[in-house]
Amino acid sequence: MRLYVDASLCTECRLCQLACSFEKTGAFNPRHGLLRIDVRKSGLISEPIVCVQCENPLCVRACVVGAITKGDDGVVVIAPDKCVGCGRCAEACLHDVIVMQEKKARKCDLCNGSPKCVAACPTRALRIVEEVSQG
Amino acid sequence: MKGYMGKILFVDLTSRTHWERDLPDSMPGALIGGKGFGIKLLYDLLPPGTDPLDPANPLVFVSGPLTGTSAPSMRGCLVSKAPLNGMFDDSYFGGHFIQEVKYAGYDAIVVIGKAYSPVYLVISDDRVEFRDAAHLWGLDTYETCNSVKAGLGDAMFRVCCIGPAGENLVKFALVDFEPHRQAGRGGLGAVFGSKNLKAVAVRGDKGIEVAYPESFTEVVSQAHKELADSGDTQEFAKCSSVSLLPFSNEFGFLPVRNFQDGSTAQAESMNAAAHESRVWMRHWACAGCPIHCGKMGMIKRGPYAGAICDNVEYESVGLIGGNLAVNSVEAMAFINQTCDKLGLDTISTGGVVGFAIEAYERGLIDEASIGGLPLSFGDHKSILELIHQIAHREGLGDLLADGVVKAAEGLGNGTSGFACAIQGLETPAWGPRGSAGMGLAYITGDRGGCHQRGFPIGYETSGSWPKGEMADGWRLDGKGELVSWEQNLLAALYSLTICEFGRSGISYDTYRSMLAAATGLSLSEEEFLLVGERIWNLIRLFNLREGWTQDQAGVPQRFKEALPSGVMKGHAFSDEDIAALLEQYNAARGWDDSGRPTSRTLGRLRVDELMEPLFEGK
Amino acid sequence: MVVNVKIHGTLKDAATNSCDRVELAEGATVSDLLAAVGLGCRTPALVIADGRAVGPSDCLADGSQVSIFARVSGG
Repeated sequence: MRLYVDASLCTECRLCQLACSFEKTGAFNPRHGLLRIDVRKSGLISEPIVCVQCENPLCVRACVVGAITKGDDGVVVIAPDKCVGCGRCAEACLHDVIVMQEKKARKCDLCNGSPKCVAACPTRALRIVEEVSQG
Repeated sequence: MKGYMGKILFVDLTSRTHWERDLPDSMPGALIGGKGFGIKLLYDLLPPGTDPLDPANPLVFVSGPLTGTSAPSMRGCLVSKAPLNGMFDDSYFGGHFIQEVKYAGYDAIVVIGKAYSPVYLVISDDRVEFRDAAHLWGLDTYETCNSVKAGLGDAMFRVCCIGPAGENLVKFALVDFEPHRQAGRGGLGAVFGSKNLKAVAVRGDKGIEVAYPESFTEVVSQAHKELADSGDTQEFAKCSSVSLLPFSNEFGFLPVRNFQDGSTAQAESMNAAAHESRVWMRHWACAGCPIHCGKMGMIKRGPYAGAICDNVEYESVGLIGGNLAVNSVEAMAFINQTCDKLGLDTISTGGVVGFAIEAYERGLIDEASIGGLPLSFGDHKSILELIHQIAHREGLGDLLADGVVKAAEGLGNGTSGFACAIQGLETPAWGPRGSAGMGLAYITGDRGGCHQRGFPIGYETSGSWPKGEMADGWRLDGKGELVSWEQNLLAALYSLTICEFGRSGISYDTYRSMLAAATGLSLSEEEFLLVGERIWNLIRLFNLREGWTQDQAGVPQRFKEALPSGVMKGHAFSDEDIAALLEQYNAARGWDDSGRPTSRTLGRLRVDELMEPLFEGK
Repeated sequence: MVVNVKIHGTLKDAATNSCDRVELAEGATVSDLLAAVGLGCRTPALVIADGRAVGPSDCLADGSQVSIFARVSGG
């Protein structure tokens, strides 16, 4: 399972980021959401940038304390108790969607299978796709 | 209290200092936020009788308790004394700026003083920097915003700024909030200019907490559902506000050729379908808003091809397409964008340019003063040239830059009769003829003749309002009660900094429930309306203090003559109507004949308790 | 009888019959017209017939000019 983005439908309303920040921090600030929106071409385009749970997650490889793992379900998660807040994973992230806050790294974990950002998106620019196993 | 950040930031441009004050505990319950905090701060901080362009006139950016959360469709509010008409001015803006003010930790930012030379402010959480803006002075709003952001290296800074019009103290200069939203009315851009303030950039790392997270989530979902289920809202979502055009055109409310008419045969070429097929490409929304009334697009044909632009709102379609008879969607979009870039309010600009064209056609402007410009309705080239002249105060533009009332005084020769402004504010795209309610809202509006301080047209044409039946538009009965009720309601809703388009779907109960869940402030319907009435009375006291009188309503002769076409054909807004409506209205409000709140009314609303200044010194 | 109808905005998409001319029985009301154009189950904010706002039970006349608007909130 992963997030699918159709940027042509994104309106830049940031309800996804607000929902994410509220879910993960208990407070609203889009900057604390674990996805971002890239605005280009004089505002003609706004593209949500999400964690795609990489096949070869550079964040996992960047972590020196083994705090980041890719599970059987394909979801890449950070164990907060192991994270030392060095920020290497955020540096290595392909899409710049790892957020450093209060000396801990945080990333998208797909909210245990029901991502709040998808539920909050009013235009279906964000969706969930079930991936066929590459097995 | 949750929902609020609990602090107000003060910035003094003269001394280049800044300081914080705690939000007084009494403020949320008494005034909620937004409009309420705005008038209280302005009432306290403006030395009585101060000129709007004096350094002592404060600029107040205000949020509401729901701003920056997932509560749908909240805006920001910019408050100051208006350069255009000297009244209280609260101008609301969408976008993402005010949310960052809260994330930086403030419910409001107050800017006073005047910088020695052009500056821009950079606010990042509790750090405030005064940066030299010499390289930005003269740039348009788009260039300024891009330049400021590029220099900051963080795309999530949010910027507001003025264009050349604000620098040149044009009395209807706007403040532009990137990317496509404006605080348009009343000339607040000139207040920026008078302070040598070119731009403000802000970002913040703080999160906004709410009092009852679970019920907040629930009631926000309810608000989203109401928006999705509302035919009104879905109309805005699909077609933006220009969807109102066929209605106003059919009734005769549309400004056509400086309000000489109220409808046009060209409406079809300017409607939503025309914009959608020729310019729009995708939906765009303000922060936290599911409606996405904004449309991003590109001009693909003709002399302005290649420009990437946002949609032209109904008001601007009315004032450019109707009032200036520029029927081409492309030319309209380009003029709209040019106004945004130069930093001019499109409503007032359409008003003054329409006035100038009519005056020229009637031979009341001599050729020499317009430098050979072939002014005529529909000629977008000469209209664009005149708009540039206004922004730079060149030639005839210098006279027009002071607004249509002053321009008519300057020209004389009876031009005041078709200077279409009420209480000094150029009339928006809803002519008052055939809607006594709208006319009354214009002559009693707290910032002048504005359509967003009461919009009785909807109730009059549908024949009902929340308290029962409503008389037809041209009739006077019940209008005093209707207008004062809606003004109070809107004042309460604007204290939450709501957007009108959100209000088209979200019920008043749900707004109050969101307020309660976010802050713990639980207000009954009556208490909520009472806050609105309190705010409205406090603003009237402010306007009276600053020299406003009821005789200033200044309805031009044009609106007193019969409307030539549309459903409301033959109706006018006569002196007799005005006198009768004011009598009804003042009685409904508990005000005396001159429009002054009586001491009994002020006591009932506990406005007297708000007279003590909140802050002493720095 | 025949009435001339203009449907505005998104109601145009919702209507099943967007003909300019609609054939109705003599004495038909506004709600008969709404049913005939497929808007019977929705409640448009405003129907204007021959320049006047009308309600669901008002009768229409042959040749009436009718405009149907989705809403009239302020902008």
